[in-house]
Amino acid sequence: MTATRENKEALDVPDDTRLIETNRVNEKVQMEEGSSIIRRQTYGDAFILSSSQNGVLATDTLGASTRVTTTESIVNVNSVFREQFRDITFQDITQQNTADWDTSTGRLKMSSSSNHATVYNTIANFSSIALNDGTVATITLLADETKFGNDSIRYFLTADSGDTTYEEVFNNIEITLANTGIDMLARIIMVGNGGRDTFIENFRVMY
Amino acid sequence: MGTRYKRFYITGALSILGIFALIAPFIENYYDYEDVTCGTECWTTFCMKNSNKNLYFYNKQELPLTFDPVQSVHSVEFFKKDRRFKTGYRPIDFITPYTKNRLYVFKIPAYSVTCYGIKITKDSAATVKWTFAGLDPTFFGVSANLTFNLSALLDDPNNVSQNFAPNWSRVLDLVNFSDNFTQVIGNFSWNFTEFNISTATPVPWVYNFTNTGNTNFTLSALLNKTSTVVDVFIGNDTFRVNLSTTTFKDIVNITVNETKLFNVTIDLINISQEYDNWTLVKNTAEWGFNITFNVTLLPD
Repeated sequence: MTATRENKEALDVPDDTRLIETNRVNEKVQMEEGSSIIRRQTYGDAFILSSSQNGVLATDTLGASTRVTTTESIVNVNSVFREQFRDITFQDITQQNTADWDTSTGRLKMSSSSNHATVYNTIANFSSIALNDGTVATITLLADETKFGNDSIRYFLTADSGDTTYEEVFNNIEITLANTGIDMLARIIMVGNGGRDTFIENFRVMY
Repeated sequence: MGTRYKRFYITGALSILGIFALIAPFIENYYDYEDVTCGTECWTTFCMKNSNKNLYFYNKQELPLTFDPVQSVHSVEFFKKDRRFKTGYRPIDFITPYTKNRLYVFKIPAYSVTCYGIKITKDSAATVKWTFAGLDPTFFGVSANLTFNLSALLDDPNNVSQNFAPNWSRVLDLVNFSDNFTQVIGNFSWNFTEFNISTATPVPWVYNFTNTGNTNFTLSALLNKTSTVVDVFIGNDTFRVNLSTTTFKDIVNITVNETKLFNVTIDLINISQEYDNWTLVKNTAEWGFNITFNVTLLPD
């Protein structure tokens, strides 16, 4: 963009102000569509007027409820789960997460520590990253890895949500799972002395 | 008329200054000495005239000669000029009998002029001024000019230990992380030993030493803390020097305008960790350390 301006303020001289001239710049903004999560919520014992089941006075609760929310499905565009580590939506807080899920930098780090004179064995657990989005049989995992020294990053996936059926998968290699399923979870283990200098970004799972 | 000799019986620590204090009343003058500029090893000579009686020294406790005050002096040796010796000087240690079948360890003959030499070792940069009566030589120190640069690629220039890259596949060999049970409960431990571990690539050389002074020197290094799990070495493709925490270990001589490159390597011995539910509960896998360097000037 360029701009020029001349302005003479003498009363007997006409104003010679020129308009700003602009050169238009083409900008391209890429957007990434995240996962769609569909949840179902029950009525519980919430009072609903005229309801034959939830309209019973002295039984159903006015202003409060025991409603239960369940995730019905998690659908990913083009069957690709994408995690930028900018939020913790898919971090499974019911499991151990000793790796540093750093939403400020968008990185899953081995540790938040900068100390390279010790060893870290850390883990990150994902909750369901694909649910009722078709049967998962083959997957390709992609992650932008940055590793200090001889650090190691290992990936494990399950398609049937079971703690006993995680299978090791490797970055950018298509794997046919031994146990197919409709509920996919991921787990990442990091070993080494890199601390915060070993991390992954832009984690994707294609299925 | 008094005796024609004087006996000195040394019963405690014997210092070079103490000797000259004892003989001061008998010495007419000192001469032929100069100030000396020297590194770690210093040598000076002087002459003195004894215009009095024979002076005999006895050292019953056979204690060695010392320098007092110690300052930066590590050792002192005393010599008497004597052409019968190859060096031109006869060592006088104040312990060995001066004359066979005699008990005295040193003699300054009466009515004579004799010349002596003193050799000391000291910190190379230290200046030692030694004054007594008319004798006051000064050993001027010389400073070393060493520049050494940590590679710009190092993560923390104050702590070399940050950059080592052990082979972590050894942990993976010991812990079966593919086992779902291990992943879930997070209980595991490992222990391994690895030798000659280099800094993480792409650091080609950790240290770059240049002698920018006008004196050749020996480079030495000291480790700052002991550890049962790490041995630290400095070297290159042809040698490795295992550093100590108690004494500076000589690494190499560097001549004027010469540059030498070195790497630091470590041995990790029986490092181990134990995890309970993915929480570290036992850890010997830590190897932080620092290295201090020293320069000792070499004689010309």
